[in-house]
Amino acid sequence: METYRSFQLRDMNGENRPQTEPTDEFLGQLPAEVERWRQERLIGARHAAALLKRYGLPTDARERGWRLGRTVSILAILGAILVGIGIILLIAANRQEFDIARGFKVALIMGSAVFLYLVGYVLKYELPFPRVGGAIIFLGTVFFGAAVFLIGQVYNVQANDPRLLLYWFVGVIPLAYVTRSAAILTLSLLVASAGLGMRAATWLEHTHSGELAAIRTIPLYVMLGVLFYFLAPLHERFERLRGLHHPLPLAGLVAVMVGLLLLGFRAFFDDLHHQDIPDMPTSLLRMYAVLTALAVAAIASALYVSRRALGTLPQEAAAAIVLVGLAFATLYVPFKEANAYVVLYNALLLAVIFGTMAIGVASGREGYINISLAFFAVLVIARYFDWGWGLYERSLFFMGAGALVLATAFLLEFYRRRLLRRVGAG
Amino acid sequence: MTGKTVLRLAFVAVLVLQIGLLLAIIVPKERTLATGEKIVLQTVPVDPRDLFRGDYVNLRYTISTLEGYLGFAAGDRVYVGLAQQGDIWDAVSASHSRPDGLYIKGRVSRAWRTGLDVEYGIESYFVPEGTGHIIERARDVKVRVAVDSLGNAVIKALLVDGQPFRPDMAAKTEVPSGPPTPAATTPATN
Repeated sequence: METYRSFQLRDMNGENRPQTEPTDEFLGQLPAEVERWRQERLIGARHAAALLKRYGLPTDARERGWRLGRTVSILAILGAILVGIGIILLIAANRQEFDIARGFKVALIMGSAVFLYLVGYVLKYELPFPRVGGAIIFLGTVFFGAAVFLIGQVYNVQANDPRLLLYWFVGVIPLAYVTRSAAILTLSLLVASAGLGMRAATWLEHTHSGELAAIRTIPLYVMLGVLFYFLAPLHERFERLRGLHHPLPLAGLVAVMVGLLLLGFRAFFDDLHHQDIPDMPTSLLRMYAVLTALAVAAIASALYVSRRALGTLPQEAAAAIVLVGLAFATLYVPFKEANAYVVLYNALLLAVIFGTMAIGVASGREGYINISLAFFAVLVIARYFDWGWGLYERSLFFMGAGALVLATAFLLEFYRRRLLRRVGAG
Repeated sequence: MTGKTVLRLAFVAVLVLQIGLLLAIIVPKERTLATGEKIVLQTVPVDPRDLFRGDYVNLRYTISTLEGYLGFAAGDRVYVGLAQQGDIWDAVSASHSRPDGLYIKGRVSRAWRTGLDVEYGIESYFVPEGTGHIIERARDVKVRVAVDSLGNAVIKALLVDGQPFRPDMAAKTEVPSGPPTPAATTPATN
């Protein structure tokens, strides 16, 4: 073995380390060779370990096995991702050349989903690769969603049918709890939110103007946000669910703030006084009633399970009830004047932002502080564009907007550091 | 039972649930395709669009607009009686309850003063990438649909100028002066 000999010669010339990098062939054979020397008692276990360590090789057989397994799992992930994307694109392209039998197409989609889950399960639970396995299981949940939509394509199911998102949600939410995966829970929350929004939109699309449909759909997210937020204490309470509570309050805050931010746009309410307001569809009203009941139940349960250490929870609950009440009232479009809504929702968003920041500082939750600062920045910028357009010449407008963004960034960084220092000190 | 066994069972249960959900989409459609009566509906395709499922064509049928039917509200279930007129099937009744004979089940999307807009769940047809324009430009587009005994409908094929749609039809399809307008259907009975 030429590489090995030349390598030895160089080493014997008194160099501390080889002058050329050892080849992969050399490194591949060294562990077996060292093991042979050890068995022949030419070297002891300590020397064997030192030799392997010198070349950055694992010193123990099990570790070497794991490393090989890691390479295999990286290849498995790459393979799974490539095959998954390939299958999705193949079926989405729906090409005539691949006009395979419907049954085979369906079997291919379902088989691929099951394959991903099995690979993920084995890596996560049977082999010591929990992160890689978890990533593949997560990929499986995304693929399952794609499978639902692709099967919808095979049978020409209505393109915007919200039931497809419902199937996706129902299919993956149990997996979040079985695998205790915050990533899968977050995906489930996103899918549920999108599905409910799409369902509401289909009930409103033919009878409501775009603006009015938005006014009657967006409060859904405020209610969902409250529901997600108050499910967190329930998850925190139980040992087995504790790892899952992180995404809930953050998803809840984002949903509430996005809802209020959108409802603060004047454009939705500008033409209200010109139009007749149609009745709320009964189905949508039922959906809101169920969500309200769930949100109130979540608030009550959160207060109950946290009764020994309530902290700021009662104040949070009171704020949430006000939000749910106002969101519900918005459905009935109580004011004809756009200004009333603009003032109401911007004031509410500011209150939620500062309330969240205060809770973040009081409880040392950095995520709350970061979200509130981010939404404050978005609010300032959104309102500048919403209210400022048309009041300045174009050049003045862009210069002013740029200066405002820079100033906001500077102030946010300044306050962010100060707040985080306070959190750290506390 | 050990924790690992419970985990394994729970994981398998979720897999079974997911397969069950996919089958919940597949089985009713296959049942309708296998047992449903094959009828042909006149349609006018509109707006090919791109989604991540690929291209699809929005379809609007002559039975999508029903004039003269009152007493419905948006979101109501509607049962539309069908009768063959030439090679096309058309609406002859619309009611809240199942009529005798062949009927198709729909949902009122809009109720206006003199009639209804109805959706039957067969308003999307997925086509190979980049071929939606063939359907949009065709002179005459019909849809062969399977309708089962409960009024559920599934698209079996799209007929473009009398021929089952194929992506290689592009060369044969001339651009016409304009697609036909769907005629509103007048009821025979209510």
